[in-house]
Amino acid sequence: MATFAPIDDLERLKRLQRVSDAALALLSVEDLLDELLLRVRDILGADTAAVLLLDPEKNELVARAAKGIEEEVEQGVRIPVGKGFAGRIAAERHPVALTTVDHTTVLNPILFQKGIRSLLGVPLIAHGDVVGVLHIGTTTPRVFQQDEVELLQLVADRVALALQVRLAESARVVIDAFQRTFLPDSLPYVPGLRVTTKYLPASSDVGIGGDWFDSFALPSGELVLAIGDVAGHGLPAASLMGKMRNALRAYALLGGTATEIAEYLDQYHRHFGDGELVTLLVGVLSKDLSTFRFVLAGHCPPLVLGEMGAVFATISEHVPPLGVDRSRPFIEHELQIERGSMLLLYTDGLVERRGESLDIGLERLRRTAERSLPVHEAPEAIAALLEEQLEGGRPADDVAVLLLQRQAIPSLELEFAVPARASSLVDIRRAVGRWLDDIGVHPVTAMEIVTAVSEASTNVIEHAYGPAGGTISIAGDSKNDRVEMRVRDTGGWRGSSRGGRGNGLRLIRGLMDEVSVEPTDQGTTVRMRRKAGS
Amino acid sequence: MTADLADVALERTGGLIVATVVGEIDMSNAVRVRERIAGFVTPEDWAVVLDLSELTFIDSTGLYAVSVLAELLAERRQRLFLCVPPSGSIARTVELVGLHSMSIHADRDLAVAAAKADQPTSLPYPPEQA
Repeated sequence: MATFAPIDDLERLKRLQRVSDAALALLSVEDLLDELLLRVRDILGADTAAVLLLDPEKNELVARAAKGIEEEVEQGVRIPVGKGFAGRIAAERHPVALTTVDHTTVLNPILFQKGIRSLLGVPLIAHGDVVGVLHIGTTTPRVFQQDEVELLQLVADRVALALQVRLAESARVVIDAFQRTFLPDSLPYVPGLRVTTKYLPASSDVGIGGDWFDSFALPSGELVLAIGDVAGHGLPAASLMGKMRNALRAYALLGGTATEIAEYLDQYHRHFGDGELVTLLVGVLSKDLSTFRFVLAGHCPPLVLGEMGAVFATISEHVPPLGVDRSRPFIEHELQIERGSMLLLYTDGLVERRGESLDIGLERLRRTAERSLPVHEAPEAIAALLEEQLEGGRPADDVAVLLLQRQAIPSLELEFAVPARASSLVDIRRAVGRWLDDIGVHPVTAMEIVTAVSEASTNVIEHAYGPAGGTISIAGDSKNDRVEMRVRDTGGWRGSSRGGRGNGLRLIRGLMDEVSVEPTDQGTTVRMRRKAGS
Repeated sequence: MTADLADVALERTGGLIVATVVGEIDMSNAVRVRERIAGFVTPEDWAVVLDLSELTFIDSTGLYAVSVLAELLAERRQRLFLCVPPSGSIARTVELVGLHSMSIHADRDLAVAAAKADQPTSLPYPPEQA
């Protein structure tokens, strides 16, 4: 059997240097492992080298990188912890050397099929946890010396640390993407209403948790507001959050009540979920913005700020979170949202403190909100609330906040922009219709103005932009019983009138008192006026 | 209600189809609504009554789809009868866009009666002798 000369300290240092040089810091996880395995194989004079990483969910080792036995990775070899060669290393947490490589000692036939005669493997341990296994092999029989074992373990420790950092980074990138996708920062423009949201991740390293919120308009003109908290942290929590959010959107589109949405979501979660607890507040705000009907499942009650100060919604009976066997039905609560009042939805990270009862946290939130929310404009109001409530620090748990403010006085001016797409037309009609209703325009007149604006917007979608799209800006104001609407784009118009379709402008002129089309280099504005009274 | 802007209900009584559109028609769904109705019509049907009395919004693209439907039917010697309540924003839009050549009626019963009065009495080919 071949043996190698003992490794002296200087040589050990030189070799170690080779697996920890700075250039490696720039590599991706895959490239890093490939490069390290090449170097390890070289340093220890081995023929093969491989890394298996632990899949903690299944408690299995998965081949992630290999040199000389690339089939391992290609075939996606998985070894249960405790079984075979690599599984034993992970379970026992110390090095294992084999001088007999066959079906009695290893689980993975690739190893002896490739003619490996000796194997040495060490655990990858980061922050005290086994994260994988690193092993080398030779096609000639070889007895590994103690100093070689130690060197491989030293290399493994560095690999484990580098991996830990790299994997945490890539998890964070994915989580950030999740967050960007799943936490909307704006609601379709709703005149008379303002919705502001904020998400603050927890201060610890565990990464994002499963807090989420959502707010969207239904085709009926009602608004759905939801906030929830999925137990746990990291990717599993973030991905469950994404599923719950999408399922809620789908069920809400069916057009039911808050209770029906919660019931469907509960069934969904108990059927497809893994028993995780999910708290939820879901509510539907009526089209006229005055009534909010909501359901709670293990979630903190919403806070209303009106003329009477800040008051929590009265909850007669507490219903457990989703995922729990449901003995009690959901209870639908109703809140009147007066003009000028606010509604605050939040997750428990905003009120909970270690070693303190929830009631104390809730009362602190109530007082803070009463003091800080009315004196600021959103989004500064939320920033001020968080600052005071969390005393300037980062929260121990994630915090999600959704603040809905209903305007005190109807605004005589309207301004918003939407993507120039056919699906935006209904949003435009809802927003303009709501505004005209708010400022007291007669419903029949309002409907005609809405039709004219929708028609002018259709023209923008058809003629102003290329397939890359653009925006439609809608503005309106009301003075001396006259409403003026402006529909503006920033495109260049192509010739219109295809077949029998040139009716849009005729319709607009018929519905409005005065219409002008103002083309400029920066786009076109259609200006329309109509007497409001009739 | 559903996520669609418009729901189309279709029923057939002895070759006469009544299509009721509830909701809104704009450029996002006009073609879909038209195809839904056109796809229901078979060569044996002789007329379609399109009931717009429960429609809350229609624009020029929607009315264009209605006129295309009328042409498609006319080419097959099938006719379209519209039901549009005389007061209300839909009637105003229909009037301004000017669907002059169409048979427009104030309610569904009148539209159905007009369609029945127009029912063809003979087929292009005599039925085959047994």
